[in-house]
Amino acid sequence: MENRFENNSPGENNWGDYVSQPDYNLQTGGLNDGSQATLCVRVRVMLPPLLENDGSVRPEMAAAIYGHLTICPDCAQHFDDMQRVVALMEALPPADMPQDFSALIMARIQIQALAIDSAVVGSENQSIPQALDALERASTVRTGKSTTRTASTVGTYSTQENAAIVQERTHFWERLTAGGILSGILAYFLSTTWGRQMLGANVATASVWLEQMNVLLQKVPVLAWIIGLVVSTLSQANGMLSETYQSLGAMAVRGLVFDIAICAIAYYYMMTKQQRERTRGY
Amino acid sequence: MEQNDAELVKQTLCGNTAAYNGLVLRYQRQVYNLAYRMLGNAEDSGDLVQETFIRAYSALASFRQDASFLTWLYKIASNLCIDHLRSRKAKSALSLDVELEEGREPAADARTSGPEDAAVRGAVQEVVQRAILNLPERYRVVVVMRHLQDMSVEEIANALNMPTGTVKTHLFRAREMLRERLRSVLEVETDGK
Repeated sequence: MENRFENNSPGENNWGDYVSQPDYNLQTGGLNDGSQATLCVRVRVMLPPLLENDGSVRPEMAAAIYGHLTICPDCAQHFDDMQRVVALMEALPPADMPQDFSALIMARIQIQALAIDSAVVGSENQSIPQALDALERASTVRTGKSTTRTASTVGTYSTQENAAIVQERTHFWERLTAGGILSGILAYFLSTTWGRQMLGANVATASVWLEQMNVLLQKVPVLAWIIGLVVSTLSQANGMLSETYQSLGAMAVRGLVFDIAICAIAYYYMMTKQQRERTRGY
Repeated sequence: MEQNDAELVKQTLCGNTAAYNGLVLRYQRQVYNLAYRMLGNAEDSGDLVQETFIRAYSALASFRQDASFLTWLYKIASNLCIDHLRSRKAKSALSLDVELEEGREPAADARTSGPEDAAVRGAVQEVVQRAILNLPERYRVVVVMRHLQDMSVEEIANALNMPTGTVKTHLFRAREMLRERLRSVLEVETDGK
């Protein structure tokens, strides 16, 4: 209790500006520099931490405030109201829980675990139908209208959740396979001389085609200039690219393939992480 | 108690689902109470309790022992509550709760028609619960955690991922709003004394 007051580090609390300032002139309503109104304002700022009673108000300060409260009915009323609001809340009884949810929860967990990953369940080698039976039993604990609602809610919940998770996983593997195949093809082309020649030739063809497009578009007024500029830039870039591909040495190509591989791995790692977080809901 | 929680968590992670059942039995009431005070209706609160424990189960490996298991559950539950309130708000613009959410005075406000009568009828608790449900969600959650779940400011800050200063400010504003809205109850009580 005692060192509670000593652990009072200024800047830690946000209750008010006056909490850590050693100004004890509030004692017994002693008016120092301001009017009664200013004094009351200063006291009111101190009331929340005083109510919280967490040690952020020093004992001397607390005594001064209580002193003021004995002579100022307005502030006293204010503090009393604050205390009573808290008392009203704390007098609320715990809400009546309509049923024990543990059986429902455990049944849903088992279904989820079985649907997603059959290894998680552990020693009891239960199958999905058995878990569904358990769920059925658990949900009939409720009577009348609520029973049907719970059962249906649980059904849709778990089905939807599991479907979403399974779907996400499928998408992930589809993307991973497609990405892998494409990277493989690219790596293969880049690592062989004829592949590079072919890529270079393709890019060169594209560049020639772009050049032709440019010439054609030059005939159309107004837009021609802008489009022409873009196309010619693209064509120039293409030309550079094709030259690069055709002239690349084997070492440089390996370096490039390595970079691509690193980027791909980093991307898939990030994606898996994101996926797992989303599945968990965080 | 704490030691016991940690033990049960460990057993659950080792594949003993019965251990998790123990944790559910131990804390479902607290989680239900938080949900009920936040959402104000039994059916949604029941669903929320289930959802909280199911999420907690699937994320159990990420539970670090630096906070108590209950605080961690509250963290999951309060996030779910806030999500639920937001989706509720988005879903129906006509519901009373929506008006309450915005912090606006609802059409049939506690002050104009209900409270005096309700207080006279001895339904003060009902009025208090409605006043709490009237609070904007960010204020409601701190006030419920502090004064109904009896959590410390630090625990709330931890559960809501907020600086303690923000928790204190929210608490202060929430209590001021409640003091305004419960004025009739407070006056009735004063007269009665």
